[in-house]
Amino acid sequence: MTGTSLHPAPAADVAAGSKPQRAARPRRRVASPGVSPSGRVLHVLLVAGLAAVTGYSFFREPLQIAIATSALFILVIVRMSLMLLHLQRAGATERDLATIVETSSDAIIGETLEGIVTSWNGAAEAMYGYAATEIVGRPMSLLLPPAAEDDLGPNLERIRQGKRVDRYTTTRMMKDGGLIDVELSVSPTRDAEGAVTGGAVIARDITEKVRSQEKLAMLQDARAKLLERTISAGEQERKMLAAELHDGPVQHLTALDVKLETLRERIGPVTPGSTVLVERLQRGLQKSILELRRLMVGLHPPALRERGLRPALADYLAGIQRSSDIDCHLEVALPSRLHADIEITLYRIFQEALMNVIKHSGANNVWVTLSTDEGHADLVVQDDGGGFGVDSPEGATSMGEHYGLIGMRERAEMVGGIWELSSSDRGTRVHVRLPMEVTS
Amino acid sequence: MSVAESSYPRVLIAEDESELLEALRDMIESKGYEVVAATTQGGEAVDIAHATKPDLALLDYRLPGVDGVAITRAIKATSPNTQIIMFTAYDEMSLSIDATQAGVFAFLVKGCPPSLIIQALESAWEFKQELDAAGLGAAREN
Repeated sequence: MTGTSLHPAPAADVAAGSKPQRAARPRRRVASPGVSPSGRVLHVLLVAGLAAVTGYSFFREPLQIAIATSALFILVIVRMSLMLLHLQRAGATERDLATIVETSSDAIIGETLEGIVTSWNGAAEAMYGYAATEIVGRPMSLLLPPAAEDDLGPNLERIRQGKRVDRYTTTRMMKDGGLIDVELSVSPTRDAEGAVTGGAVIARDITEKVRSQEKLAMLQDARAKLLERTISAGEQERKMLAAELHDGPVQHLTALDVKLETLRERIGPVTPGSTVLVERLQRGLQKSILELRRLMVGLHPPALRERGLRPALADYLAGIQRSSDIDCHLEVALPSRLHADIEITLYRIFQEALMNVIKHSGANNVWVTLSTDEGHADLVVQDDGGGFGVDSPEGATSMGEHYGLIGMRERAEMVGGIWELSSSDRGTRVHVRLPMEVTS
Repeated sequence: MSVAESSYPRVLIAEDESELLEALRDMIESKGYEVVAATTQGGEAVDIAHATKPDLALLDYRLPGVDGVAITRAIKATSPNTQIIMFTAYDEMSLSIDATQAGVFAFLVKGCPPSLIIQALESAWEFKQELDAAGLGAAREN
């Protein structure tokens, strides 16, 4: 760019090698229909000539010639009237266009083929801070920020070739040095003969839009990170709790049970009911251990980390098969282990979906399939239960909170996946599709 | 009982929780078994097994250093007739499959009646005696 001076410079100074005297003259670049000045002179001379010939012929020539000449004269007058009318309309169109340009909310700027500003509407003043009197005659490069890529040259080259520059997003500098994000498009302007004379730049301030988008992206990123931290912290918490249960209550209760067994064997039946009492105590302990064990594996299944998703899913389904009337069917086609975050996400969604099947579906069968396709892992949990309404937004929200559906979706989205639910009176289907590699 | 009558089966116990380890030792010894070693460390269990070649081993799965399945493989590699009972808090089918494939004689989950541990030890001891009598595995042990 040539500089950022706020004072209008003489046209000759701002664009060496250009034609400043032409550029400095503000003019509208709206191509107007009508005739050229030389054409108008020709028409006037023609009318005058014909009038003279007609007058002469009325006095000098035979009647037929006088009539013919008069008809020709009338024809020319009619043609001239139509032309004047046409020119008036053209003038009106030009005024209309000027009004549109002036009142447009987009900045509309005229420039020469050398990039010198020739017209500058009100929106341009508001957007860039320059009054028309300040910038007309100066180079467009005044609007180019120092760090921005110079896109003016390529744009002018296209315009010279009579081509449009389609809308694109860039940055421009205002009079006060501030930067704005703009959407620009440039169209060639032409004279009456169709020759390209310059360009019409239309600019829209999208600073707010860009800021909103950036803010939205920032919020989404922050949300994803928060979710990730929350889920990661949750997993750590679960792992720690499982370890606590394993190392603490489960071991202590088992030790008590074994000690009672030894005691019972050693002392024999002290009183008639003493053996039964000890056995009851032992059964109570064993039941507690069983509950703690389930809780422990549910919190943090060692199989998932140590042996992978397939064994972990099979273990979980085997537990359901043993403790309920639901027939579980598992089909897994995985070429290898997945990323740990993907495995735990799939496992937790599977767990939540299965919990819903057990508690709410009334299903006789549940089918779980896990497969891979084009870099994605697909998990489907489908049952043949009664389903539940997810059609209305209110219903879906209520169900989402109640059945942990939101949690499932958030887990999937956190690793860049999608989660879908469909439900009818013939069953419920949960489908989750995750990338096999973690991208977030 | 049959165990006491037929010499003293030598048992190795590996369990990382010391209170439970002592309770198991107490119960097993009260049934006439000789506990050759009781350890809370996985690596130590392997060393002891290599040195003492116990008849039976009662192993927890989750042990510091080496897990129960790896210990089973290590013991079976040098002492194939040693019969191993895994006693774990993890009721996972996939783990029981892994353990069985490694050569575990019985897979017991904590919370089962302790009498099952004794029953498993008895069955394992009988099986070990039959193997020894048939001369199976002896070559590898030597």
